[in-house]
Amino acid sequence: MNTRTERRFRRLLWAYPRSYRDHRGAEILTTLMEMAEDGRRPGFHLVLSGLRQRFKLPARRPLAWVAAVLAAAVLGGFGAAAGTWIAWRTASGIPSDREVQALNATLTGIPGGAPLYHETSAQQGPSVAIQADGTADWSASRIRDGLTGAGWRITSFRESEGRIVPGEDMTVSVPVKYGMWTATSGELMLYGDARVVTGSPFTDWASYNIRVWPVEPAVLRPLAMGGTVAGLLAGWLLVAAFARRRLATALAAAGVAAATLPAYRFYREAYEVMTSAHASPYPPYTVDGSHGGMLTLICAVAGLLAIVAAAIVVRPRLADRAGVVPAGVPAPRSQAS
Amino acid sequence: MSAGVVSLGMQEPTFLILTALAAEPIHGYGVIRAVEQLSQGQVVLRPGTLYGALDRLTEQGFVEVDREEAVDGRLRRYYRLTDSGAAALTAQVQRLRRNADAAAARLRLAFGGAL
Repeated sequence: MNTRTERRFRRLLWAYPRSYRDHRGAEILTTLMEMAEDGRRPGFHLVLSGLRQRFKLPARRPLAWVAAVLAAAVLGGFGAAAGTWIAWRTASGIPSDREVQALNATLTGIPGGAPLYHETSAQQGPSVAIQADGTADWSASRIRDGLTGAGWRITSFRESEGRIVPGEDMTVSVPVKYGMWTATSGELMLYGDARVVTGSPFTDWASYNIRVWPVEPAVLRPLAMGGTVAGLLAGWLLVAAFARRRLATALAAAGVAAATLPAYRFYREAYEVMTSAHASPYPPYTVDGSHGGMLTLICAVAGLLAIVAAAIVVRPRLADRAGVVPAGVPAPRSQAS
Repeated sequence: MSAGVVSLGMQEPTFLILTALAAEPIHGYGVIRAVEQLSQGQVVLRPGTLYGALDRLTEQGFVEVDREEAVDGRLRRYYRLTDSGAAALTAQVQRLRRNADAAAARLRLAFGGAL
């Protein structure tokens, strides 16, 4: 039997975890080669058996099972966040701050830099908003022409009139013009509204709000879901890989436990990604942000460090890799033939 | 390959692997061939199934490594039945025999014949 066949069988054995190959690989290879000499070829079943072995946890080790379930749950959350993040990389980029400022000046007629707000939608997509307050008249044609000139296609435009009370004196009200419009440009969406006072003593006192965001990419939900599943599997596999050493299992369990808080946050965000109708920043994203990004980062880093420590503990030692006798199996009586 | 349950707690491949090892220590491919012969070709173990079963039986203390040999530069590991494995197989044989006898008796009552 040639070495090509042996190389092929060795590749099939890569489906098994390295620790398993260390103590059973040579033996299984012998069996495969002897079967091949009789014309029997291992099929996909061997690969499936190897993959199944990767998920196997040691019996009578409740901590390993608890750690595996916890790790799967936590990494599922991280996987959802990663999938969502990757999906948004495929979306159209929002205009630069300079472009938004220029568009704002064109539409509103209010010169100067207005404050910009970069926010995240419920679906975790980006958006940029600009709030311009100043003195400008109401001109529907200026807004329409400005949008069209900048490459936007207007999808709705409404005007209405009303009155507002501009000061503390509730008996004085002034007429006001309201405007609201939406537009698209490629994969970008735009929403704008305006409130312009049209009567003295505050004539042409204007407040404009414009917001731009990308349409959610088609892969957003599939990648969020796929990331969750990948994270679940990765979490289980991680603990399964560490489970042969109790210290490594304990460290991995501590690591994923530390990352529980960010995982919870990621799951809530994933829920919004899956259930929100679209990527519009309206209604505003209302998830409790009391545990902010810094805490999330600290927890994630602490968890990662614990898992790295577990990996160091469980890393194969040269002496271990040289041997072929698994733990728990009596030392064999060797003989050469 | 038949995966029929011989009785609660021991599946047919497991029963046949223990049976194969009952007579003498055998290596991996030897077990596969012995099981095929014992089952008259009804059970053909695949390597993944065999080593999964050997892992489990080793953990349960029914099987242990007897010796290792190097044949043409390849590692052969021989397995043998432990006392505990022999006891489990004996109990299984008695259970199967009892059940088979009971089934045969009922069939004779209902249908006659030579069972």
